Amino acid sequence: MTKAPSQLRVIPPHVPAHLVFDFDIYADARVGSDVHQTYSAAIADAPDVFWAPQNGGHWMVQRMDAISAIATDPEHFSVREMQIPRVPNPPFFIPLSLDPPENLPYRRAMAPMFGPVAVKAMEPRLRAWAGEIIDAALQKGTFDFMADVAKVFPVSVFMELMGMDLSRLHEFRDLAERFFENQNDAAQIEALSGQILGVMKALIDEKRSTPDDKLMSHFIQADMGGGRTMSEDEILAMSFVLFLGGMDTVTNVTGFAYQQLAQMPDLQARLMADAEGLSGAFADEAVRMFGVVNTPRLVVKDIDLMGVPFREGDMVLNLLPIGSRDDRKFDQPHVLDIDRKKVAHVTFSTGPHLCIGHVLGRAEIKVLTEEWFKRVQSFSLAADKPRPFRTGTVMALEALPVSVNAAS
Amino acid sequence: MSQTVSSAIAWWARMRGDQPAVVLAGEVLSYRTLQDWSDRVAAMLVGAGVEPGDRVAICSTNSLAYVALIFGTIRAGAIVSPINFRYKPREIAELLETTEPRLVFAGPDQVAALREAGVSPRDMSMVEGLREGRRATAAYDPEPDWPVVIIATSGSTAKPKGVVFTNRTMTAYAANWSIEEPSAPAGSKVITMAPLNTSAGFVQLVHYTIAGCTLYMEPQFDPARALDLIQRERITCFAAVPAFFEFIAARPEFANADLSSLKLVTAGGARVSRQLLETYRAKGIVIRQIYGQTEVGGNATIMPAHLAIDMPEKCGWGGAFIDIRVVRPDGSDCAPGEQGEILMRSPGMMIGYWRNPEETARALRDGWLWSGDIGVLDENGLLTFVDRLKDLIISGGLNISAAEVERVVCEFPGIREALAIAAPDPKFGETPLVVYHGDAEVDVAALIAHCDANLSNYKVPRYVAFSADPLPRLATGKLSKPAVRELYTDAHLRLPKVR
Repeated sequence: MTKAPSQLRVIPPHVPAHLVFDFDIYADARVGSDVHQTYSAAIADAPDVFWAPQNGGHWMVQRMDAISAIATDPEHFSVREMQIPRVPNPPFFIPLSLDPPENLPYRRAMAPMFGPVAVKAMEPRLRAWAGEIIDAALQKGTFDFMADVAKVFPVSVFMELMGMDLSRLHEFRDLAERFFENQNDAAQIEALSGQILGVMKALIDEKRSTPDDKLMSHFIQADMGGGRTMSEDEILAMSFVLFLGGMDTVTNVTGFAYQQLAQMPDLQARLMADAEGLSGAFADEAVRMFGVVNTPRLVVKDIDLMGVPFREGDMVLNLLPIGSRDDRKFDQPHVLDIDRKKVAHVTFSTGPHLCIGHVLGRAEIKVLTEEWFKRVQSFSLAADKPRPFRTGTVMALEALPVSVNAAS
Repeated sequence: MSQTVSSAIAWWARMRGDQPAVVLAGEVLSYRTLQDWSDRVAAMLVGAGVEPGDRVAICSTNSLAYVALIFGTIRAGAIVSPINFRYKPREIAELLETTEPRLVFAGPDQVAALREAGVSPRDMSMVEGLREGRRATAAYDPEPDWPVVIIATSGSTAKPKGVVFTNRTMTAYAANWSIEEPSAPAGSKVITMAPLNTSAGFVQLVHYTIAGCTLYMEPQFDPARALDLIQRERITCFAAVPAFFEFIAARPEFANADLSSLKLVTAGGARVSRQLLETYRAKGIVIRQIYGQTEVGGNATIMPAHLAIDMPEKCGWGGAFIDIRVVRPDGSDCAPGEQGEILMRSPGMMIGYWRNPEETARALRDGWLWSGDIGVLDENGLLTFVDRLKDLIISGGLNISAAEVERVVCEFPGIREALAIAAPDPKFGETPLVVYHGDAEVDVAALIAHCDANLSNYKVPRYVAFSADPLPRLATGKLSKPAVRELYTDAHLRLPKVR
């Protein structure tokens, strides 16, 4: 019986045999609920940059220096396509799919709203949301940290950031939740995307007539150079990217970090004793250890780099979460150590596409942790409950059932 | 052996043994011969190691041997897996990967493609050779719930999905129409023009043989021949796309033709216009609009004749055993006049897609089939089909998945992005038009050669348009097909036909 191309291991002639290492980024049997540790272990013996013949065949980059070299070289490694395996008519996101300098005006338009000053100003609102969400979850005793906390918090923050009508919180949360639950259902995603964009479009109209100091009003007014403002389509596209980028990421970094924290009673006791003093260090270490985004690149110009022949049309996957656990950069990289000296990592990538929300994302985890330990004495994994996960370009924890001892 | 396709054939072999079951190019296959021949085929299959549930793939143009092989396979408890005789080796290989047949049979013109796809087919002449011979019977009877066929359908995905019917679903489908349509009793004469590898061809064959009718199989649509056949053989049932009825009416001999034998005349795939209705009404015939899809078993609803006269474009209100709803995305029923997705429920619908639990769960929810089609019910519950959610191009009655064409076109060097849309075509109704963007125009002849090598001929684009600008996108980052359709509405009038 012949096999269709999709099932084949694809190894083009330019790929040398010593760089081939089998790994299925979507469903590798070696990866478990502790995704980061098991993923790292599975590829520990693979070369720094290797060719995975599965999923149409693509390069995988696991070392921090190699990742930095590729992320800062848009001339050879383009963001134009980000699908593995490559698909016909890949989606195009503003500004994610734009190589510099085209992406710069859009980043400049967003930057002031995501800087430390703006995020600091948002903190009281983040705190209020975190408290409210944790209180609601605690009412339940045993609950799913993902569904009840990690998934709802970033949606609320997104609405706050955009200046959305918070009386529609539940409606929009429900929309967001269904969107991320139906990732494999193209028809549902299409319908839900339409509804989300409908909400955004209504928001644009509202902010045109009654502007405020929130992000959507800022998008409407932002000078893109030469006095040009963004078209409605551009604003919608940017809003959609922020929606995608702001939810799944913070949700899953938080989820994986709390999965680990649930198994570390000593660290919980320290955080309980001094949440305000230690939450920043915890957030930093959570971000270093539990990155969830792997960034694809398309080779658009042949280049030999680090002994690897990258050829036009090859797909490359930068394993940011693995790069942030590079044992050449970190002592005991798989240990969550909040006393670790702060060192650069690549969870947020680097170069022209450095995550614009990195200050906000870190702040969300920090504030959530402070509010958590105001209310929680200790918590642990609920015994014998499965913790499903998915891998791919974004790694996600789909459920995290926890048992909680509330603070007295 | 109760409520199986095989039990119905055995019944008609007893009751109407000499009546033709199938007439193909003048060659007659009686129910008695069909019964004996298919029994011998079943015994041969079992002897070759075929077990209940195994797949038997068939890649051939229509022939009486094909018919015998279908009923023999079902009698042996195996599952018929028809392969489109137009398929290219790559399409065949992709299909075989999911069906994994125990045996593959091929017609003389299909052997080479199958070999190239990596299998060693048996020759259809092996089946032909069993037309005469000693009585033979398979040692066991098929069960009602055993699957009988996997029919490949084109959906909105790039790869076809296999619709699975069982003995029980196919007999229930036939039972519904026997109850509902007294105009097609046993002994009725039916024209069928569809290849047996299509849903229409396979379902008509099995439906009308379960019902004890005679099928006149035509190798292709020829309006003059059809008109002649209807009169000469006193044909009673005729189903086709509206364009076929128009071609027949355009024949000079139509004016004096005697069509009084026709009792059940249905049209699907496109709307029946008032003008078409009136042309045939002058001959005493009411063309009735149908709606259905492979997944529901075939037809789901036929417009009642007395209502079709006033509302030719409507499709009826379901059937004796077939319920229809039109719903909003959240599953609640639409108000009369409100558009929504058409849902259907019947004992004749598929049990699911072959080895595809995700797509099955999507299509079958709480006992209802979600059609992916948009429709609207009027205040009397009569359905009007509005549009298909699935991205299909329907060319000469054959469904083409736009995504599949796009996948192959995008493989061609120099093409950055491409969409396939339907261009109107006087002969086929619709035909594929491809709009692509790249750094420069590509060699269209070479592109078409690439498509020819990887796609069945009817899927190969007939028009190719180059766009110097990137194609329009939605805010979600996806290409916008509605915007491209609008930009290229009249493109077929300006562009040359490239094949």
